[in-house]
Amino acid sequence: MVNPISWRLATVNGIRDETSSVRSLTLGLPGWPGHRPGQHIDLRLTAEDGYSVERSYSIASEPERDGEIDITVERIPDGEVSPFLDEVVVVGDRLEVRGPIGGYFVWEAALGGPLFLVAGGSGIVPLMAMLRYRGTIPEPPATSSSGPPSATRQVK
Amino acid sequence: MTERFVTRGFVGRRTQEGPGATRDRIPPGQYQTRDFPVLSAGPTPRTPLDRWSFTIEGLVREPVIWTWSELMALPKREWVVDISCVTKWTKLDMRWRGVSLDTLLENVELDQNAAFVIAYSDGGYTTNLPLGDVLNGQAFVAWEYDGKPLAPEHGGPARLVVPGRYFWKSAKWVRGLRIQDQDQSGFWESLGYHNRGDQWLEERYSGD
Repeated sequence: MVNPISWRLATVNGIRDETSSVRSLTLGLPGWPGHRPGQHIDLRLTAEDGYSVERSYSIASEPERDGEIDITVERIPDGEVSPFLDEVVVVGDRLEVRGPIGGYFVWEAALGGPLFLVAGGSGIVPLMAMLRYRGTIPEPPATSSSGPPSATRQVK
Repeated sequence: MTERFVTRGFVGRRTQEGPGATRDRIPPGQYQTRDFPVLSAGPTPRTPLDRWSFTIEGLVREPVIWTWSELMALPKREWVVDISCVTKWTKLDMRWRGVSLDTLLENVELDQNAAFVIAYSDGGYTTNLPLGDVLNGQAFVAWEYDGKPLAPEHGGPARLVVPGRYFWKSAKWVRGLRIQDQDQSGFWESLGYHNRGDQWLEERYSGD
C-alpha cells in the first residue's frame, strides 16, 4: 500500500504582493520532502464549528529551497478561500496543507527542452516554478513563456 | 494529523449551505459550482462520426463494435446526476442522455473471470474500474448534455459517465471498454491518483 499524503501544518513565513489581486505566501514546512516543478498542494481551512473547505494551489517556488514553498494566489472576488488568503492571513498564521501532489504536469531538466510555456491568469504559477527551477540548473534548455497581460503582470 | 486544525479567522462563505438536501449532496472537501469547468491533459481529439465506433473487447466471447448510428439506435435514457471532480468542484443535477453500460454489456457474453473494465479514449487516455462499479445503473455512455450534443471540450461525441466516482473516471472521447481479469492502472491512476476514486470517501490520491 502507498502511504497517504498526510495533512501537516505550515507556518506562513512571508507574504508578498505580486499585483493588486495576486499575492504569494511563503509556507514554512520543516521536513518538506521536495517537489517537482509543476506540482501542487491541497490546502484545508477549518472554521471553529468544524466547517471545512479544501482547495488546490500550484507551488510557485523552485524545489531547491529547504523547508519552505511559495504559493501564489489570485483573489477571486466572490471566492470563499482566495479572499481569506488575500485579506485575513498574516505572517505567523498556520495552515493545513498536504502535498506535493500530481505527477503529470511537471518539468525537470531530465525531460529536456526547449520549453514553450503559455498560461492564462493564475495558470502561470506552476510555470513560474519551472522557470525558477530552470534558473538553478547549470545549463538550462532554452525557454520562452507568454501569457495575457493579467498573467504577465505577476511575473517578477 | 487526525484532529482538524482550526484556521485562525476562517469563517467560510458556506456556499454549499442552503437547503440541507443540497448541502448533503456535496462530498467532503468539495465546493459547488454552477460552471462546467474543462480540465484536460492534452489536445481535444475530433473524430468524425462516420469514422467513430465503440468497442467492447477483452474477456468476452465475441467483441462487439457499434458504429455511431448503431449506438444511437440502442435504448437510451436521460440521467440527472451530481458530478464531483477531484480538483474540488461539484456540479449538481447534470442532465445527460446516453446508454447504460448495462445495456451495452447485454450485447456481450462476459468470461467468468471478467472483473475489471479499462475504458479507453481517442488520444490514448485510459481509466480503470471494477466491473462492480459500472453495473446496475452506475455508469453510462453519454452523447448529450443539457439537451445538446456533447461538446468536444466536454468529451464529445461521447464520454463515459460514472457519477459515483471522481470525474477523471468518466473518460472523455471514450471509444471502448476492454474487459480484463486483472486490474490495470489507467492514466491518472498511474500518476498518483487513487485507484478507485470514491468521492464520498475522499479517495483523491494514492494512499487516501
